[in-house]
Amino acid sequence: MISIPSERTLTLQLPALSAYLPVVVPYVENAATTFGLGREEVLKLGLATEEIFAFLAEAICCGKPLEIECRSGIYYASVTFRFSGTALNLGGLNITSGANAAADGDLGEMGLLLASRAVDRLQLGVGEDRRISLAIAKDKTYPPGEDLLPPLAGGEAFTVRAPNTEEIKEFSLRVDQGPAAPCRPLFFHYPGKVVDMIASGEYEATVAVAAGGHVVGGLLHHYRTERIIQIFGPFSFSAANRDDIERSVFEACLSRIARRRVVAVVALHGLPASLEGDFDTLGRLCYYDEDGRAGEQKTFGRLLNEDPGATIWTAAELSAYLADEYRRLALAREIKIFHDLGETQTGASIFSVETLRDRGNAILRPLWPGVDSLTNVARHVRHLREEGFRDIHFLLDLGIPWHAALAPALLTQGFRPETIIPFGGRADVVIFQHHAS
Amino acid sequence: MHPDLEFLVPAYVRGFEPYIPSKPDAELKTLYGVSRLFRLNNNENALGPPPAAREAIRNFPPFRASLYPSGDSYYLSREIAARHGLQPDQIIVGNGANEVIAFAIKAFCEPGDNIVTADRTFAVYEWVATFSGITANLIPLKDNGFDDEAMLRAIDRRTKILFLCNPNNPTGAYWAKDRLIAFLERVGDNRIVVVDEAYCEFVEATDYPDGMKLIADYPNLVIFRTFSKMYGLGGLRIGYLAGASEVVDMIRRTCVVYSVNGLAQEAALAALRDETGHIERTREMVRDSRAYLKEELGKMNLPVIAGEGNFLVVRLPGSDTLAYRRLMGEGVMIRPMTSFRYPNHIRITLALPEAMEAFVGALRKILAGPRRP
Repeated sequence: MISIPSERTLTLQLPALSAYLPVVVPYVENAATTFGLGREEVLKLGLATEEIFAFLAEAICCGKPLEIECRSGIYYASVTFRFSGTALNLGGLNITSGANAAADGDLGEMGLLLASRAVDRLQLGVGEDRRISLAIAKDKTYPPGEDLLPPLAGGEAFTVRAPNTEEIKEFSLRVDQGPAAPCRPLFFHYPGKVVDMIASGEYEATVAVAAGGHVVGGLLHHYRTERIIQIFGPFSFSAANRDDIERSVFEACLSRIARRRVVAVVALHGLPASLEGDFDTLGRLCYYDEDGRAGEQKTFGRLLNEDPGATIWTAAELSAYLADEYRRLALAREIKIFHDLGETQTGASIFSVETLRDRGNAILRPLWPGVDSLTNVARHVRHLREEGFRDIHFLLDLGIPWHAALAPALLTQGFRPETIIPFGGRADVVIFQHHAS
Repeated sequence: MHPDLEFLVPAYVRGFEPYIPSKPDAELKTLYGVSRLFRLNNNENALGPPPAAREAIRNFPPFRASLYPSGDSYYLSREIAARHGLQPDQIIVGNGANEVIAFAIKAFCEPGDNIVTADRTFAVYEWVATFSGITANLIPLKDNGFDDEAMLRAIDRRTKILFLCNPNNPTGAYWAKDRLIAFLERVGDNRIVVVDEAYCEFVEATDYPDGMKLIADYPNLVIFRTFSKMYGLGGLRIGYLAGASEVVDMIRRTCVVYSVNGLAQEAALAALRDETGHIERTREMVRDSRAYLKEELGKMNLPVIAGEGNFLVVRLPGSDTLAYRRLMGEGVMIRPMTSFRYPNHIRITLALPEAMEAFVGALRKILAGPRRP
């Protein structure tokens, strides 16, 4: 897992009082400008900051100590609001909170939903000590890579290594100019962004370079969690020795990460056929285009070490699915059924929403249990659909017993379990996908 | 309140993935639903300790468990020294060879220094260096053996130790005597060269060098050996290093005394003195198992890397970690090799025929199954 250098981080501590709004917004805008965002992006980040700060000051943690951290991720600037959630009613932190007011035209109460429209990513987290972090990020704008690269001769000998800046750009361009692939991340269309993503330390690349200096293949990877690496690729641009390039690049990537703090590699955007046998098929995910048509993508994963086994929790409704999947994946799991024995629940449930606007993807995670899980799931789906999110995922961590209790609500509301990521959380994580009826 | 671990813990420790050891066999059998488990993952000696060591373990008086052991393994270090024509002060006995690796790195390296070793070799040199803030310069193997020229090129002014594994775990490739001497000559006096001979007692090649005999001529040479492999005492954790007196004196300053328990010292001493032919019996078992496995794996068209040592490596058509899980389901535990930077390879300990046959049968079954690894 990367750690962000302290010289790319600024912190402001203040009470959450509306009177300080004139302090907060210029602080964020000036930081974002210094971090290299363009004028338009700075204004949007400032707008989202204004919404969130006003919302926190008025509805969530009025007058309480608040920390606002601005961070340069090189290709983006992020703002993280941190405060203690102890003794607060946190139900308002659901992104859907206040959305009914929006229907009445009162945008001032929309808070998080409105803020999410102005930024590329929004994520809510709750620490073990109930410390809340609410992060928004705005990417820099990059010109698209439009240079049409000539086809490669193919079949040349190659070496595999970490790329320099120009090689990253060529790699990115060639991926983008490859056969159409609906699941390919959009960032490959912006080679300068890929360069900065790698410079940030969040992503790493491995490329195959032919004797003549051309990039003939490559792979990009990043930490999806502290213990899971997600890969994009490997890609080969030379039909003559495609399999050799793909395998060499992948094995070089594995060598780089083999002795790191990583337990598994996942490929959720597909794999070349030559490497499918090296992975377990974790399931599938659908991708809906703007017309609502679905494409399907198999998802893959591979442990890097011996499976130490795990105990997982599930609702009875999901146990047959899990038993079948664990048998298929040959993963040793002790499955425990979560039983609701009538214990009293209080308060509102809270879900974190990670919004990835460019992909139309929203990822929900349970943060806090509550009495209103079923209606809260329904409310989130309705509003995220209205916001234009086509792919809605809900992640349950099977290592957390109370997560198991949410499965019936998800199934009732049209979610289906599609993919299991071994050790994707405290234990395995199941990705549910919402399928509109 | 929580301690500020970001402040307290060095980044090179925070970023290090702790090694997760296997669960106990009983737990694994329950998890995988098997009634027996052949352990072919740790290169343990399937024949166990030599008879004399067994006797020493049986005769160890329980009351002695209440007494501190000899802090410097007094009798054992003298026995080792005498057998190799060295002085006792040239020997340090540790809680397994892993501990003496840490002693050596602590003695010679400080943050900013580096070690040079291979990328696909025993992981502990790299691990100890990394979580100590020392850079590990990893040189790719060449033809499954150490690349001496590339290692020499990698030496810079901050290089303190070069680690060689002879024979190499997991490939079994070894440094012949002439090559090792030529390498030591080119390294010169200003770097420590560690030769890890954990598997030396298994080696039958006639040009394999006895590192202990080279110490007199190369005072920068440090030899590691263990009682965990040939002598079957892995469960007691005992190993040692040997070197020139002045070098060992420096390493001794980083040692934790009393780390080697009394039972381990006595069992190791007895193992060295055993005269029942334990080494020859073990070599014969390993020889036979290697030949059997090479033949059977050849029939399955699986490429094999087999050299010296009580193990071999086989390349599978798919994921090694999936193979581990499916073989566990058949009651056979092997070592997947992705973490050794050999993806899709597994390492198998050469053991008794029953275990070898069980492995071959299980491998045939999983390769014929619907999801072949």
